[in-house]
Parts: sequence; C-alpha cells; structure tokens
Amino acid sequence: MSEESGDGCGGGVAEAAVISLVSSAFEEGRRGSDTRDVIARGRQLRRRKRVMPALGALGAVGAATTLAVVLAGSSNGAAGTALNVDNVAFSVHTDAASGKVTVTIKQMFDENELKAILAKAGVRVYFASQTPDASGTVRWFCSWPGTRNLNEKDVLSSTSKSQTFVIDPSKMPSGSVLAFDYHPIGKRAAVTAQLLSGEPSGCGAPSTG
Amino acid sequence: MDHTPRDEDFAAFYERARAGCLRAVYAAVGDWTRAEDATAEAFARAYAGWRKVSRHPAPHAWVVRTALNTHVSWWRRRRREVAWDASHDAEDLAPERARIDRQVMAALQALPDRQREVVVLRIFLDLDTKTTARALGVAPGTVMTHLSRALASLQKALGSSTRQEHLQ
Repeated sequence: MSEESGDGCGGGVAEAAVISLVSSAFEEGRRGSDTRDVIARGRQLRRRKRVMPALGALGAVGAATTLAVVLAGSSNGAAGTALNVDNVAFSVHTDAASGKVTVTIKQMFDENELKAILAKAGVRVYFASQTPDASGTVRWFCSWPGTRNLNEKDVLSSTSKSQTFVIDPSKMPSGSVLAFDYHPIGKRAAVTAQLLSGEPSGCGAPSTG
Repeated sequence: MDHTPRDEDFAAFYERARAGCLRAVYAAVGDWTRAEDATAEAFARAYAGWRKVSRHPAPHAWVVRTALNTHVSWWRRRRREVAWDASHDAEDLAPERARIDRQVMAALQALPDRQREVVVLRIFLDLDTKTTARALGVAPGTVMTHLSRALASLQKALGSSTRQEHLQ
C-alpha cells in the first residue's frame, strides 16, 4: 500500500504478509477490452448525454422509438431551446445565430412527438393529418375553425423543398399557433402551414365560396 | 476512427490504468467476464465525461467505483457478436499460485461489500486513505476502520497461505 503501514490496524508482520499476499493475487496479465471499442462506446454514451436533456420533456418512450440523432445546443433565450433533431420522419434544426427553426417533414410522423419538440424550440403548433377518403379525394386545405388566419410573412418562410418550413419563433404573436395540414400521398407527403390566432377546434371542410 | 487530442489523452490513461483497474474490479466481483464488461463500460463512461473525469484526483479509482456500480448489458450483448480472441485467455498459472488466488478470492468474497471496496482501492489500486475516502464518499476514519476489519478477516482466512509465503 502507498502510505502508512499502520493505518489504524495493528498486526505488524502478519498484516504486511496479508497485504503482500492479496496485492500479488490475480496477476494473470489480462488487459480488458480494446481501446477502440472503449472509445467507440464512450462516444455513443457521450452522444446520448447530449441528447437526453433536449428530450427530457418528451418522455423516454418517444425518445427511444424515434430518435436517430438529436443534438441539443444551448438555450435560445425566451424563444426556446436550440435543437438539432434528425429522424426518419422529420427533422428540426435551430439556427444558433438567428434562432430560426427549420422543420422538414419527410413521411408519416408522430404528431405529439413533433409537437413537443417544436414546443421546446418555442413554436406552438397544431397538426391535421388528412388521408384520402374512399373515393380517393383529399381535402387539400383545412379551414381551421374557431380561429383566424394571421399574416405569416415574418414568421414563416418556405424553402425550395415543399416539405421544409423556416419558422421564426420570436416573431410569433402571443397565443398564435402554426397549423400544419399534412397529406400523405403514397410514400410521400404534402404539407401546408398557416399561422393562426389560436388553436383551432379541428380541420374544417374547405370553403367552397 | 478519427483521433482527437481528447482521444489520445484518454487512450494514454486507458493504457496505463486498464490492467490495474480490471484486476481491482475482478477482485471485487470475482468473475473475469463480469469484471471485463464492467471495467470496459466504466472506461467508456470515463471517456464520455473525460473533461470531468480527467480532473478527478484518482481517475482510476473513479473507473473502479463506476465499474462496481455499472449495468453491463451493453457489453454482454456485444460479446455475443464478437469472435472470441484466444489471446484473451488467461495465462496458465502455476498450480500453487492458482490455489492461493482462489483462497484470496474466497476471502475477499466473504468480506462485506464496503470492506471489499476499501481493500480494492487501498491494496489493488494502491490509493492512500484520503483518496480512498474521497472516492468512496466517506470519512478517512471510516476507510481506516473498514480496512482494519478487512485485514483482520483476511489474516484469519489466509493464515496458512501467509505463513507459507513468509517461508518462501
């Protein structure tokens, strides 16, 4: 042992012999796992450590089932938490400099999960998913009853990709909601978005007027 | 694999500490497979938190403590997928050495958990009382008490072996 031989335990030679005997045991030359394996596992754990704070509000089940890569960044002030989420169904990325949130919806997704992630990013959303009826007809635009449309010019901008939206949470008026109208079409999807004054009571039939 | 300064720093620590930590964990758990899994997981956690662990007064003690509190299912799952490397097999020990090792292990396993942990850190990792106390989150006096009792028990259990060792 490294320090005082007494260490509060008398016994002198016999004790020293026990320490000597024990300390020389199990000298089999084993060295354990390969360095690369340990570092690879360590990287996996480190990624998970970064992910978990970002998903704390979402619950373990949702996180485990859909998460592909989530990297939580620093807080983005009052607008919400900076997020970088990528999975097979959607992605959410926050621009650290501008605070703008880019959402891409790729395929059928768990609405509640995406809603929770966007809420963390400071974006209140409502989702309506429409599937074609028996005749194959799709109502292309919800009318969002119980609320009114707001000017989304400062809040929402589209990109060259029709399923990608860039949102500025800081420009969303108090109480406003961004409503997404989602239409699966075969293996693809069409999505429209509308800024509303509040949460709608559902997806109303489109106006015929 | 891309190597960063962090990787190199950790890899150097791993090379220095891996055998000693594994042996210490084995002394505590009594099973090489479990010890290897737990030690590997603990080192992986050390890598994941290397910025903090590298500043620990005794990182190898942190690894051993973590290994003794670690759930090792990840390595167990992986073990099924990896071909066994015969070089990992233990070297053949002399029969007398093997007999003594078995006696030491039996004596260690008979100790209460806390006493065994103190023995592992004080004797196998060669930590001083103060560092052991910090690693275990107890007072130095508690470490001394546990060690004293542990040595008394070991002395009783290993009496014949220690006498033989003196004669050699």
